[in-house]
Order: sequence, then structure tokens, then C-alpha cells
Amino acid sequence: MRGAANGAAFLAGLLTGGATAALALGRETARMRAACLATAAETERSRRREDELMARMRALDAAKTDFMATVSHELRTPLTSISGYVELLRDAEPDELSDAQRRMLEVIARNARRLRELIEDILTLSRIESGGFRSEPGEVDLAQVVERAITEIGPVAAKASVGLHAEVRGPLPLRGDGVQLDRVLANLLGNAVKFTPAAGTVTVRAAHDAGEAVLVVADTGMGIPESEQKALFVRFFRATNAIRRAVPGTGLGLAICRKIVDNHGGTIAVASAENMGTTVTVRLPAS
Amino acid sequence: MTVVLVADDDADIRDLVAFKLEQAGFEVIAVEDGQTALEQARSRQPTLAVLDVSMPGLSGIDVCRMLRADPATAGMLIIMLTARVQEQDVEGGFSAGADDYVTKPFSPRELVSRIQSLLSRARA
Ligand SMILES: Nc1ncnc2c1ncn2[C@@H]1O[C@H](COP(=O)(O)OP(=O)(O)OP(=O)(O)O)[C@@H](O)[C@H]1O
Ligand SMILES: [Mg+2]
Repeated sequence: MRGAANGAAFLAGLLTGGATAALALGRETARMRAACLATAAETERSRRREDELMARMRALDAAKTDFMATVSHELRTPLTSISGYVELLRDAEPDELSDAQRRMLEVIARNARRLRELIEDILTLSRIESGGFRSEPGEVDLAQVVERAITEIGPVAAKASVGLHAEVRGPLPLRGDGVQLDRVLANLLGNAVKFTPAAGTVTVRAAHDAGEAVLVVADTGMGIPESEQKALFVRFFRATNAIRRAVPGTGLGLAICRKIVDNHGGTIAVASAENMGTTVTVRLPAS
Repeated sequence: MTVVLVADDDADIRDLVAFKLEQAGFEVIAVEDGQTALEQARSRQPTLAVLDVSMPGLSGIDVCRMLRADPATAGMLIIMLTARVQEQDVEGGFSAGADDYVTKPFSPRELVSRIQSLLSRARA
């Protein structure tokens, strides 16, 4: 299980991070070399080499995005059959299946859904790492994004007996990508609810502060052990207490959030104490 | 009975869609490539066609464009099935003249309800 996750992490790292990291490294070495060499000719030659390297890295990045699109296509096709036929079976007449069989089908359906979400996440990560925005950035009201996410998570929180409080002071206009910001909110609220046991609370606040739109998602849940907090934004990282309690997840959500917030010129910070709760603060430049 | 043409090169998905549509009371013509889809659309004149975007030879988008270009089939309702969520695929489908698109993996139930709403919109 861990082995598989590590393998997947390695693969995804290769796919989503490799070219970007190499690009940064290439730029750095070229810059250092340029600084050491004195003559203009040398500088010129190294600049040309840097340009070549950049071009090659860009081509690699494009190839990677292409590859990811193909992989996701190839995975979606069999997944369509799995989840589609499971749906047909689950729609069968009540007396055609035993209770045990229905439970098994539910497990298959749930895991097919997980697999689909995983494919979406890897694709999203690859896309935002190589290309920035999914659509052109436009005017977005963060207050509306937050309201939407709260409406979405409402039933989930209710089912888990987690209290949900919101304090949104809008409008909070900013330049950004609404679809991606939806993704950030969905993951932060999703985390807060799923890592908070019954009778706990999740509080969402959004307001304007000093030229920034500030979003705070606070919960009274299991928290994150202090020594593990610095790894939170690493792909596929999951805290030991989350794994121990078998809370479902892949560990891609926060990595995606961080990338999206970065793309918007903002910051994301986590403050947490184990068994006390977690507070995530996102600050985005307002327009 | 309303006739629906289903074109997908993946046999399992073709059978899945055909089974669900027959269950919902449609008459189904199931084919496995774009060329056959085009021929069947022309000869049997289905009310609606469900076309997979990526098929070998003629793609669903090609078929869609050719159906729209021919006065005999220009009015056919067309739903595209796509396994890519990239914007250009969706835009490609719409610019080729599709009425709706559904991304894989899709729920067969959802596909039927999309078909029914297209049909009732067309009747109105
Ligand atoms: N609100 C929180 N309370 C406690 N732990 C948290 C909270 N948010 C995140 N974590 C910890 O950080 C890890 C990474 O979070 P992230 O959202 O990236 O992944 P996930 O929720 O496990 O899976 P995914 O979001 O990909 O479905 C979680 O597995 C959990 O250990
Ligand atoms: Mg998460």
C-alpha cells in the first residue's frame, strides 16, 4: 500500500515536477556560469546555451502535458466501463441482488470514483504546473466562490455531524480563475470536514484586509503532528494520524491548492496542533 | 420508436450505452467506427446520434461535421462522448455542431437524461 503510493508519487513527481525543476536548475547554472566568465564572447555563448536549454525544457514540458492528456484518456475509457456496468447492476430490481452483493457493488463504485478523482487531480496538477491558468483569468468574487463551496459541503458536514459556520464579508473582487479557486475551496473545506470528528466545528471566514482577500478555514479536528507540518504541501503526503485513522484521501489536494494560490500571486499557510484543530489561511491580492 | 445511433470503438462502452438506451425504450443502432456511423446515419436517419470523439479513421468530430454539412442529416441531434476534458476538445465538438457533450467516465443514467432533455427540447 505504502509502496504503491511511493511508486505513484515517484511517477507523478517525474511527470509533473521533473521538467519544471530541471528548468529552474538549468536557469540557475547558466546564470552562475555567466557571472564567472569575464569576456563578452563567453557571456554570449553561455546565453545561447541557456536559450537552447530553455527551449528544450519547454518542449519537454509540452510533451509531458501531452503525455498526461493521453494517459488520462487511456485511463478514463476502462473506468467508464467499470463504473457504468456497476451502475447498471446497482439499478437492478430489489430481489435480483443480495444485501451482501449490493454492499460489494458499493465498494467497487466508491473505489472507481476515487480512481477518477485521482486521475483528475494528477491531470490538474500537471496542467497548472506547466501552463498556469485553465482559462483566462477574469474578475472573480471570492465571496461567491466561498458561498458556493459552503453550499456544496453543507450536506457532507451535516451527515458527519460537524457544525459549519460561515462569516463572509463580500464582495471580494480579484483577478483569477474561478474554476481553480472553486477547487481550492472544495479541498480546504473537504479537509476541514473530513479530519474533524462528530460534534466538532468548521468555521469559514472571508474578508478584505489591507489590499488582500483573506480566507480562513478553521476546524476543531484531529490536527497535524508538528514534525509533519512542513511536508503538508508535498504531493501524496498524508500525516500519520490521518493514515492511522484511515481517513480517505490521496494527499494531492494541498499540493494543488498551493500551486493555484501561487499562480494567483497569493500565499497559503497552515497552523495546527494535534488533537486541537487546524487553521488554514489563504491571502490573495485583491483587484 | 425513437432511433438512436451509437458509435464507439470500445465494445464494452458501446454495449453499455446500447443496453441502457434499449432499457429506456429506444431503438439502437450500434456501430464501431466513424465511417459506418456516417453510412448508418445517412441510410437509417436516426433522430439522435451519440458519437465518441476519438475513433480510428473518421473521428466523432469529423462525422459530426459531415452530418451537419449534408442537408439530409443536418438536423440530427448529436451528443459527443469524450474522454478528454481539455477545453479544445469540448470547443472542437461544439464548433463541429454538436448539441451536447458528455465526458467519460459518465453515468449511463445521466446520459439517458441528457438524451431525453435534448429530445424534448427539440420537440418543443
Ligand atoms: N484540516 C486538516 N486537519 C487535519 N489534517 C489535515 C487537514 N488538512 C490536511 N491535513 C493533513 O494533510 C494531508 C494532506 O492534505 P491533502 O488535502 O493534500 O490530502 P488528502 O485530503 O489526504 O487527499 P486529497 O485531498 O488528495 O483527497 C492530509 O492527508 C492530512 O494528513
Ligand atoms: Mg484533501
